[in-house]
Amino acid sequence: MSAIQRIGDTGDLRSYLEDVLDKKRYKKEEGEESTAFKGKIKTYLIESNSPNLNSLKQDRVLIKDTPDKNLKVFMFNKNGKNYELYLDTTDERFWRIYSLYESEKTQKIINNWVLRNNSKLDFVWFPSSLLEKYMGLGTETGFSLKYINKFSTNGDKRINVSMRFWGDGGKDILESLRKNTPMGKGTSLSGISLNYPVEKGFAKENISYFGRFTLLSATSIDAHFILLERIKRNYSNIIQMIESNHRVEGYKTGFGMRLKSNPLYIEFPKEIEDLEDFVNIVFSAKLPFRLSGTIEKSSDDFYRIHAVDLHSNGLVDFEVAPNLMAIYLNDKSCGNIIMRLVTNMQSFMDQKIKLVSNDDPDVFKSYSVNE
Amino acid sequence: MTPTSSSHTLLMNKIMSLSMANRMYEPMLFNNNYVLELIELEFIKLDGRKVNPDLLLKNETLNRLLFVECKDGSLEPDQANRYKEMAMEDIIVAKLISNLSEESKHEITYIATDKKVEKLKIGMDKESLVFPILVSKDSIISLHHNHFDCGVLQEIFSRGVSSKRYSDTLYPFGADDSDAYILHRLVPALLSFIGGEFDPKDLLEKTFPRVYSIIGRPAQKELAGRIGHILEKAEKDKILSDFFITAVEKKFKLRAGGIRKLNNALNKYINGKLGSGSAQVDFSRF
Repeated sequence: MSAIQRIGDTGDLRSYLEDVLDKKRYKKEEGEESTAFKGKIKTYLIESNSPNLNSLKQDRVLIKDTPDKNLKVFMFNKNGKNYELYLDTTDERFWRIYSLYESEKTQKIINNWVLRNNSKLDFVWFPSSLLEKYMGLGTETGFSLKYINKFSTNGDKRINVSMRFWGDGGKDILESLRKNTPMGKGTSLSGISLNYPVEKGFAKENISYFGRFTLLSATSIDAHFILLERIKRNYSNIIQMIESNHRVEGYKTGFGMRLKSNPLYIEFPKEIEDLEDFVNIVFSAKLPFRLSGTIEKSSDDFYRIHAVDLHSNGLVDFEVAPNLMAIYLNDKSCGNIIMRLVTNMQSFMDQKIKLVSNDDPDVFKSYSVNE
Repeated sequence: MTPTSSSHTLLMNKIMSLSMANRMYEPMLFNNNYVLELIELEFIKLDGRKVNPDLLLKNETLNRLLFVECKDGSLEPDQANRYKEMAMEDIIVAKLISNLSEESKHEITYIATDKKVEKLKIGMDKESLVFPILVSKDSIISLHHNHFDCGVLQEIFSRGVSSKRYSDTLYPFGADDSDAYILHRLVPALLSFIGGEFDPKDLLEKTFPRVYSIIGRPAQKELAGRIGHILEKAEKDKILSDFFITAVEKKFKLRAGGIRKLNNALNKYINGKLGSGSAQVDFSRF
């Protein structure tokens, strides 16, 4: 019997995932890098700006309703094998997609939903500094790094580095790597592994920089849900803080208009040498930045960009100087763009890139994971 | 080449940028406690006459107000004399902003570009008015004529304030701007409507939500009409005609897909066909 025949609501889904975790199917493969994530429960957190579910239709993908209006099942066949993904939209802003398959089997389908223009969907993006904070929620058991110097100019050699470390003492290893030249700037975390304690148990998880939670082992599926919810709430608070405090807002008074502008900034630790190249890459309408618009060169060291965020179609203005990028969110723009930019710039430029505001020299550093 | 804004839009954005917190450049007025309070003001004085300065800045530390008139052209004597006769009592009674008292002080300054500042100065002298005039020249804003009552303003503008970097986000365009510049600022909104139908007012609301919300209906209609006219010309042009398709419910529709192609075509059209001339229709202030 297919799982869908048994799953009528999110409670059934929980029981089903508990069964998967419980039974022999959940093999103990820790430490074996190539197969460690195979067949594991994976939950993707997806940031949603309320798209029409019909827009998620893809060729050869069937969307099945369940008695629970917040739960859908996506069914498709790939190379003769049937796949089912479960979409839980209980939290309207942060959806969850559950998968039991290897990432390469389903990632393309998920990418097609999330990353096409005007999907109104985005991944949640964890900047390296935030992932490092999430390490502290439990006992660190490993990390992974990924770095491509996408913005290299002046004929710099293309660097494409990835690395996974399993074991205790990850933070210390990371620190020593950061002191290393030229490795230092390429030490942006692309994933962390941690052992998250809950009452009478634990969840051993791998969390990727684009919001994929892979459950490696656990005493109960609830431990996975608790960690997921905790991080989702923290992330949601950050987005809420961005959208409440950093959108340009104006309102009419009896005598004129009052404006509130409190831009956010991405601070580059080293000056960008070729600013023109930089803005042409970021605002090329391509992944991962998903930004298009008009580029105005004010001077060699100052550009203005009036852009559209292709994930939500919200308008965002930018000013770019060699050491700083100012971001002005329009009054309806989605705050997730900030997370997408910081995370990917850390991966493609330098892990020391920081998000700053007029009042705060390091927004993520001063943001508590317990908020 | 990117079209440039009108002098009025430029001066508005420069003063606004100097009076709001920012890390990208040094907001000299903000750093000296002159903070932007209101834009596009309009209120009635006790004598029943209307005044409508462009900007109002407030300095809580010094208990002072600064009204700014961005005027790149001849002085309007009637308007200037209404400013001259404006008393603190007018401002307090109008309840423009809170925490004002009889002890609060105010002054009015004009700002112009170097091309037009002499015209303004002549007009000012002719009317025997003593408002300080600022000039924006070579990315420096400095005191050109008369003097400020406020010692802080007198000092910083006598030295000159850099406005090389400024933001143009808060005031995208005004009625004085050219068709080329307005269309240039509408490009992101146009890209956001790819595959969908829209009216000129949809573009305005998206690009200019902050200002659009305060302009009255006749002015909204007038501005939307101008944008409609700009787009009608654009959709007939061979550079852009393939991107427009017949709309059913609204006035315009853009073909789905090809965001980079549309962006490139719009830029080619704006820079090639429209040039960067001044506004073709003279609209009243909105």
